[in-house]
Amino acid sequence: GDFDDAELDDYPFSCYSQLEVDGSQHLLTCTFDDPDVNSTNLEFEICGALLDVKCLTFNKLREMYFIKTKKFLLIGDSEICVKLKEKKITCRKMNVVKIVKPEAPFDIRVIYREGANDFLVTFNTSHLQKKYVKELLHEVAYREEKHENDWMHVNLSSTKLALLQRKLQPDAMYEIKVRSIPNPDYFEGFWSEWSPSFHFRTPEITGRMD
Amino acid sequence: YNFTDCDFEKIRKKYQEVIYHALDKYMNGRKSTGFNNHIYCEDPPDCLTKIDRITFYPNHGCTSLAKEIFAVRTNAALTLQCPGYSGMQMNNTQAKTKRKKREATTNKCREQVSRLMELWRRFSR
Amino acid sequence: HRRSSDATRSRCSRYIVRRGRTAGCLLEASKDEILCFSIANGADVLLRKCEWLSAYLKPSSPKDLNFWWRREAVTVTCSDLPYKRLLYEIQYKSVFDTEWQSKEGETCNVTMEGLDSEKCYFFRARVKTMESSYGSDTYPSDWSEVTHQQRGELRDSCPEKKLFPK
Repeated sequence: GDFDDAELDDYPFSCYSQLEVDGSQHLLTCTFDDPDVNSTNLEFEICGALLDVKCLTFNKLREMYFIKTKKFLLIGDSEICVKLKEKKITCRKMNVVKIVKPEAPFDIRVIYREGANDFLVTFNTSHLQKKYVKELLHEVAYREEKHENDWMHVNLSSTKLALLQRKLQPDAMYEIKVRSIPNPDYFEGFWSEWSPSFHFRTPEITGRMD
Repeated sequence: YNFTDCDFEKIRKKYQEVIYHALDKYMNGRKSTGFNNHIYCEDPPDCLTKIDRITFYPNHGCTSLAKEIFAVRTNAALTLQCPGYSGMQMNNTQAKTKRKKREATTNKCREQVSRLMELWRRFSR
Repeated sequence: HRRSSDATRSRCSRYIVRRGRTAGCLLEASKDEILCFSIANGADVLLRKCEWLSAYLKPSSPKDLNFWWRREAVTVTCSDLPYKRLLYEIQYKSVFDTEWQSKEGETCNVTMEGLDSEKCYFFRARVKTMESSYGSDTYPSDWSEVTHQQRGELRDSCPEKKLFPK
């Protein structure tokens, strides 16, 4: 055939799903692990655990393959294959509910509460309105901007957090961001992208926050 | 089929996370307690037996729920978690209607689905 | 009325009367089953209905809340009620917060992160039912009494503070 066995393994790929990403439409995205793979004529197909159909073929956008559909059964395994001229050259068994990558949180803000000596961090997530992947864990990361790699992390499941003033440097510029992952129960998966960062300056010992 | 050996906890999780939303969507926000013909199930195997019967076999003026999304999901869950369960057997009438679009939701079918929701609720408690 | 575990029909023995009118009937219940009942005005039956007792469940409110503090988090526990698919909701706020913040768990063991143990916090708890297991006609329990906590200890109350923002 076109490929001998050794080459068949040279097409490792990864996929993630985003449920109810557009109304009740779900999104499944796959990419080759090796960005230098020559993907001309290569196609992706998913079969099994689908509603009404046996298989669905992916669309291609540059190096990314994706399907937007309502037809995920959300129960049981599917088989995702790379095909070359209708010939399956490599396949992986995957369960759409176990490879969920949440949408990134957004609207992160920080409010200084002088009386409380803390900074109230709030952010938003589209998953609060969803039916399926409602339970998320969030990771807030913040750092003093002049210490580039000195990130501090807080894990939480709510969308509100108080950072204690006594734990931050006075009169310093901080950057803060947040990301989410499914709270592993029925739905599992990967970390979302980071939210856009928010920047804030802590007050001098006695003054007000800018 | 005797549902005694099923993995009830895994079926419950699939019901709670996935099947329930499809049932709720089928009822389209209508209260499932609006009907007055109640159905009782004693324990998980008994509940699944009645769920299987109402979901996959025509009854009381509702010819077929088997093609509905909640039914396809129920079938997938039972096939995965009940050893030896051979899944939705398309009987002749269903096979003939297989290519037909899903039937309009009739009140008779809504009544059957409200009984299904009761059985699932009872099963999950 | 008649229950699915007992074929005999009986009349209500304890009516609830409000402003001189029959407003309901008080029935003892030991387990979840189907109750079929009819409401009549003399011989004229106005309503005939069957319903799972649990369809109208109002759980009892949580008691004896326990608090386990560590760094900037607290775990609140209490004894679970004897039936499943309930949601135990804990609400909390410090004197600087204008609204309650909520956290739920499927057992009465709920952890809240991002707290400052130096501050005085109000806590309260209640129990709700899962709609997928009980339907939509149930009631949340009443709120438990409000409990006050500061530096990991019980307080009688939280001193009034200038609420944020000034």
